[in-house]
Amino acid sequence: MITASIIQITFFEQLKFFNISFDIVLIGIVIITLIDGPFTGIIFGFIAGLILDLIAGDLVGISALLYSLDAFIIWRLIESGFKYRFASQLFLVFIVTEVNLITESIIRYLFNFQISLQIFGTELLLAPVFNIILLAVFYPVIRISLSRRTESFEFKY
Amino acid sequence: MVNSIRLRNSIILGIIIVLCLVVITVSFIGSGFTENMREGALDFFEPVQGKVFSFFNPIAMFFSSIGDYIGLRQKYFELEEENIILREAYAQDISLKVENDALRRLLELDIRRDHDMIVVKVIGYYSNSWQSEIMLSAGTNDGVQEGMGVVGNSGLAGIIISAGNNSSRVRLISDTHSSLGVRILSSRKLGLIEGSQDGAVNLKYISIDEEIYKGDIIVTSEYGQYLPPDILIGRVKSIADIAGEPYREIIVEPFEDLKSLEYLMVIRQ
Repeated sequence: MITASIIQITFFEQLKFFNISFDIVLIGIVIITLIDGPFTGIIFGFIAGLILDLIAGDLVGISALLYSLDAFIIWRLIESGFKYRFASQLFLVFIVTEVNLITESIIRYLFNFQISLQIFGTELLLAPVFNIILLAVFYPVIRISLSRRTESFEFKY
Repeated sequence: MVNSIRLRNSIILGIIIVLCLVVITVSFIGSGFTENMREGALDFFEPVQGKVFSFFNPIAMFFSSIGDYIGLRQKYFELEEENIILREAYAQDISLKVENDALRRLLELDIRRDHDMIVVKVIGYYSNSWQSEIMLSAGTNDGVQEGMGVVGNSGLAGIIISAGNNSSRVRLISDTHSSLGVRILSSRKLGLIEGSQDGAVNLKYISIDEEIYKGDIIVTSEYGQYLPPDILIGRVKSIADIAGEPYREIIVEPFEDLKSLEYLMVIRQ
């Protein structure tokens, strides 16, 4: 989690297109929640978000809140059957990215931040695409980890 | 069993949400506690961050430079045009400089001293629509303090907003919270430059009656507490008059490329 936060700040924040960057912490949370379940996902999200906020954020706690919430949403979607297929995981990333953006905008609006609807719209359109690309890069890791997890589960019981 | 796990996770999430909302509120109000936590975290991660940044920076530069190739031809023609104007201006300036030096000698005036600067390394970026910040590998141990200006080779990059022992955070001039007093070099008119959500730097409070031209140079004003006057910021990129508005809508192109910062200087004066 620390590694993901540091890589986000040192690498992915420099790779910007249309002022939007890839979110490796979010992908990390998706992977961890898929593999290890909601409890680990929520705790991972909270700690990684808090580290990110403390090092670089303007509002401490906002990323921690968003990433914990993401893990919870992923878990609820997993329970509804979104888990093993690649398309399901893409949908998970799409949903959590959109939820992240909307929730962050609402919280910031409540704290008197100005919101540009044009930029918000661009982010809603492009940010999921960026994160889906990143997920596709890490998909082999998810595939291998999930299959190992299933094997160990079958061996145990 | 499943229900108890669901309940446990929901309770944990509930606690985290309440905790985060409290922390966000405390941070928004601006308490010393969160600032100390931030400075501690910055210092703690600074050694690792510096090394990881050095490792990833060339890769990031390679990918971000791909986008630059698209507008390369257009940029070439713009620079060629600008070069002709600058050559003419240079020829005029040389004669003015000779005259100025002679007058200074006559009046026995000292040329303004150079600023006390320290070279620092960028160790991290963080920018989204709400903020544009970078992290530096120098802090209070190096004499860096909150409010000091940070410049690159070409011009002002931002202001130190928080300084730990060995690291500090810089709010770039394109940040939405950034607001700096400036002057238009040619007319000496005062204005404010502010960042925006799309990363553009806007020059505010220039009345529609005031003369300003595309290409005008913007420098820092003498009214900053830490920032010395006449530090280059950027040039006017576009000017628009909006019907019914008393002020012009002016976009400034910073001299410093805020997307690829690696080494900067903090003005300690």
